[in-house]
Amino acid sequence: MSYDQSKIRNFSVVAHIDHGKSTFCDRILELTGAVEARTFHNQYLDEMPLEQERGITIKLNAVSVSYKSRDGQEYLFNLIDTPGHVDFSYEVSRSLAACEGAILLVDATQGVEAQTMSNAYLAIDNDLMIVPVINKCDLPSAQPEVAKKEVEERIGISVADCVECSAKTGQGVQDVLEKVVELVPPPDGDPEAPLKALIFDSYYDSYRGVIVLVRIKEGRVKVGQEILLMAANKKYIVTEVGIRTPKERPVSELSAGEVGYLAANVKDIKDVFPGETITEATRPCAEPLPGYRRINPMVYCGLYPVDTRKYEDLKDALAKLSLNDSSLVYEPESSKALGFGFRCGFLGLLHMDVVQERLEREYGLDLILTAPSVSYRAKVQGGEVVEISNPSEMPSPQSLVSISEPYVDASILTPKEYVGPVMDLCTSRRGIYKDIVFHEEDRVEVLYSMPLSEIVFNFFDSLKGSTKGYASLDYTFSGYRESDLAKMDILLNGDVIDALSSIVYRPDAYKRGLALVSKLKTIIPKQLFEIPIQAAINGKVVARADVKSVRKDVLAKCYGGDISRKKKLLEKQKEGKKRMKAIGSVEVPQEAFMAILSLDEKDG
Amino acid sequence: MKPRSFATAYVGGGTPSSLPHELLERLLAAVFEKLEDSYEWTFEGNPEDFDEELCLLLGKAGINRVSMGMQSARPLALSFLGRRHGFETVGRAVSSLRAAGIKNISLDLIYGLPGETLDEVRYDIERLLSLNPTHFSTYSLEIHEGTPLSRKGIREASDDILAEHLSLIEEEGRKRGYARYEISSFALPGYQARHNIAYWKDDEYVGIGMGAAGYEDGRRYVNPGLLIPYLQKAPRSEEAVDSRSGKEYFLLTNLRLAEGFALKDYKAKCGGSFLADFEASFKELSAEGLLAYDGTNVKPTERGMNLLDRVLLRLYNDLR
Repeated sequence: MSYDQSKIRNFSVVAHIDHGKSTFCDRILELTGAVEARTFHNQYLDEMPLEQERGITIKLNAVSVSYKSRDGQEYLFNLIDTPGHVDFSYEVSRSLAACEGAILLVDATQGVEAQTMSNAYLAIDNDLMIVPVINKCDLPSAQPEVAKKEVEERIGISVADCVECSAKTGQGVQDVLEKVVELVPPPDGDPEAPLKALIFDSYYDSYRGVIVLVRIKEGRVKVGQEILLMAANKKYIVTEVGIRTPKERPVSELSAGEVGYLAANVKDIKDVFPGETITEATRPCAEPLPGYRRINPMVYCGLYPVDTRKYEDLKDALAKLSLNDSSLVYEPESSKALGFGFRCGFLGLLHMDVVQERLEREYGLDLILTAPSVSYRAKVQGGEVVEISNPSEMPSPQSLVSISEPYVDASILTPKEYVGPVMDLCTSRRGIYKDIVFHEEDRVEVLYSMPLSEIVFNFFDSLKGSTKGYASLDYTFSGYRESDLAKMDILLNGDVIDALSSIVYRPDAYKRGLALVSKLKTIIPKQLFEIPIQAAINGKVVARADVKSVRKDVLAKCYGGDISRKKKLLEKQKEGKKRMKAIGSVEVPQEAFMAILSLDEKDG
Repeated sequence: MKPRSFATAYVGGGTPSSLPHELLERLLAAVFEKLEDSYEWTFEGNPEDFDEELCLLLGKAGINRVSMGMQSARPLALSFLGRRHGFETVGRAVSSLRAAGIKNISLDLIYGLPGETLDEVRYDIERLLSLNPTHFSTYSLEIHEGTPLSRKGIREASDDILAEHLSLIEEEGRKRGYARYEISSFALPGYQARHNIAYWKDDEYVGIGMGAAGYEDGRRYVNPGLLIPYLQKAPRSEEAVDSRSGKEYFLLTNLRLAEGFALKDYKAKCGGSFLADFEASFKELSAEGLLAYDGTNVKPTERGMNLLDRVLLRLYNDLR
C-alpha cells in the first residue's frame, strides 16, 4: 500500500534541553491516538530507562501516526526524534535529512538558548521548513512575546506562523499539527525511479537481525527485493518492511516519501551506519545520497571489571550492547594494574558515560574506566608510524622520533558578550585562532583549530562555565599535527600504574603533574602504610604527594550488646569498597582513574 | 520450662534510675531471684542519679557493680554534650556508692570532641583516674547523619587525632595499672566486666525490655525501640545466625578482645578451622602486623585493635 505523497508530512522536533520536547512528542502521540491510554507512559519515544531518567534522548526513534486535520483530510505524520548532544551531531543531521520540516520548540519562560540556535541551524542547513512553537505558555512566568522576538532576532526566522502552546495541558498542540499540515511541504521523489533510501537509525533484534529505519527518497522497497548498501557494498534480500505506530506494523511496501523500517537478515550493525544509502541490487541508482560520513571513535578508554573474574561477563555485555550501537568499538587489552579488560572507542564523553551506565545498570557490572585518551600517532626509529590509543603503549623516548595528535576544527557559537572568555579558554587549551564570524544580532561564531585531547579534557564543561551555558560547540576532525607531547606516569608506592598514565603537552607537564598528584591524594583513602604518589615524565619525578597511613578506623561503641547494628555498619563499608580496585597493596577508588579529567582550569 | 539462672546481669540502656523507687525495688528483686551465687550485676546511670537514697537501695538489692556516664571533667565539654552533671557530681556519686558497699565502679569517658586538645584529654583522664574506679570505658564522639550535631555541621575528628587521644588515655591508664582488655574497655586486674565479656565471647544472652538486644538459640534480636509498639507486643527484629554470619559475628566480637580467641573456641562455635577458613587473609594480616597467633590464641595487635574494621572486612573477604 502506498500513501498519497501529498498527504505525508515528515518532520522532527528540535529544542534546547528541558524545553519540553519529550512531553510535546507524547502529546502528539496522544492526539493522533497512536498510543492507547493503557500503554501510555510519559516520554514514550525515549525507550531506554536511562534516557527517561536523564531526560535526554540518545537513541533515535521514528513513529508514524495518522492525523485527521480540521479540513477533514487524513494525513500520515512521520515524527522523527533526534538526540541533543554534540557527540551525536552527525546522527542528528542524518535524521534531519530524512525530514522536510522541523518543529522548533522554545520554552516561553527561557526563550532562545544555546541548543535552540545550534539545532535550528542544523535544520536550516538541511533545508527544512521550520515551524516555530512557543511551549510552556501555561506557566505564570511565560513570556511568549519575548520568546518570539528572540526567535526572530537571534535565529532570524519569521514568527508570522508561530504557535503558542502548552504540551503539559495540551492547549494549542493541535494548532501546531495544523501548521505542520499547512507549512511543511509534502515529500517528493519518483516512486518509479530506482530505489534510493536513507538509513537514519538501526537497532538489533535477535530474531530478524538488524532493523534499519529508512526514509525512502525515490523508488520503492518490498519483501523479497534484493538491495545494495552502497557504502558498505553489501547485498541483502529484504525479509520485512513496515512502519512503527509506534508498534511495528508490517506493510507490503514503502515508497518514495515514506518513513519506515526494514529487515534483511543483516547480522552486523556496523554494516548499516547512519547516512548509508540503500538501493536496488539489480537497478542501482547513479549516486548515493550526499552527507554520508564514516564516523570513527574520537575518544578511547580502558574498561575493566572491578572483580577480575567478571571479564567474560563484561565481554558478553559489550557484545550485546554493540549490537545496538554501531559507533561503539572495542578490543581486548590488558593492564598490569587492572588485569584483563577492553579498550573501547566512543563518539565522545557523553557516549562513553552512557555506555558505562548501561553496562553497570543493565548488566550489573562494577567497572573501572581509565581516563579517556585520543588516538596519537607516533613515528619511531626506522620510520614506522604506530597508532597509540592507550598511553601505556607510548614508545620509549629513545625510539620515538616524533608524535602527532588529532586536531579538530572547533566552531563555538556564543552571544557576543562571551567572546572574550571563549577566546581565553581556547588559547589556554592550545587552540589556534582561525576566524570570528558575526552572524545576525549578537550571535558570534568563534573558530579555532584545537587538539582533540584538549576538548576531551573537560572542555565542554569549561565552555559552558565561562558562557553561562550559552555557548554551543561543534567540531569536526581536521587532521594530525605534530606536537610536543610526553607520557606522564603515575607511581603509587613506587610502582608505575599503567592505567593512570596519560599523554600530556610537555610544557604543561609539570603543572599537570602537580595538580594530578594533589588531586589523587584527596581521592585515594588512607592505607595501612604511607603511600607516595608521584608523577614522572620519562622516568623523572616531577611531583609528589603522600597519602598518610591510617591509624584508627574502628567504631568502638556497641550499644548494650546490639551487635547486629555493628555488623550492618560493617556491611555498609563493604559496599563502599566495591568501587575500589586493589592494586598491589593499595586500594584505589574508581574516581582516581578519572582524576585527570576533573582538574580545574587553574590546576593545569 | 526449666528455671534459668544467670551468672551476670546488666540493668541499663537509658536511665533505669528514673524509675520510682518502689518499682525499682520490685524489678531488682525479680532479677536477683535469677542470679547464680557468684554473680556480677551492673546498674547503669547518670552521675546525678546516684544520690544516697538510690545507692543504699541498690546496695540492699544486691547490685555489686555500677557503670556511670562521666563523659568529661570539663564543664564546657559536658554542656556541649548536653549533660546536666559536673565533675563534682561524679565524685559525690562514687563516694555514696562506696558507702553503700558498691566498690566495683566503671566510668565512661568520651574523647574526640570538636576542637579538643591533647591537654584537655589529659585533664579528663587524670580527673577520672583520681576517683580510683575499678574500670573505665572510653568512646570517641560519633556523629550520625541527621542528628542535631550533624545538622550543625559538626564532623568527627580525623583518625590521626582520635588515635592520639586514645593512645594518651591508654598510656595514662597503663601507668596506673589499668589494662586495655577490649577495644574500649580498661580494667584493674580482676575487674574486667564479666557481663560484657560474654558479648565479646559471642555467648548467648537474654534481652528484656524496650529496645533491648539479645542472642538466644542461634537468633539475634532487638526488641521494639518505641513504647507503644513495645507494649502492643510488636514483633522484634530478628536474625537467624547461619554458618557464614556465625563466623562473621564470632570474629567481630572476639577480635575486640586483647586476648583474642583460642582456635579451639572457634572450632567449637563455628565448626571449622580458623586457619583453614581464613588462610589467605590471616597470612597477610599477620605479615602486616595487625593480627598475631601465639600458639593457642589469635589476637589483634594494638594497631590491629585500632584498625579492626578493616581487619574484619579483609577476613570477611575469605568467606565468599
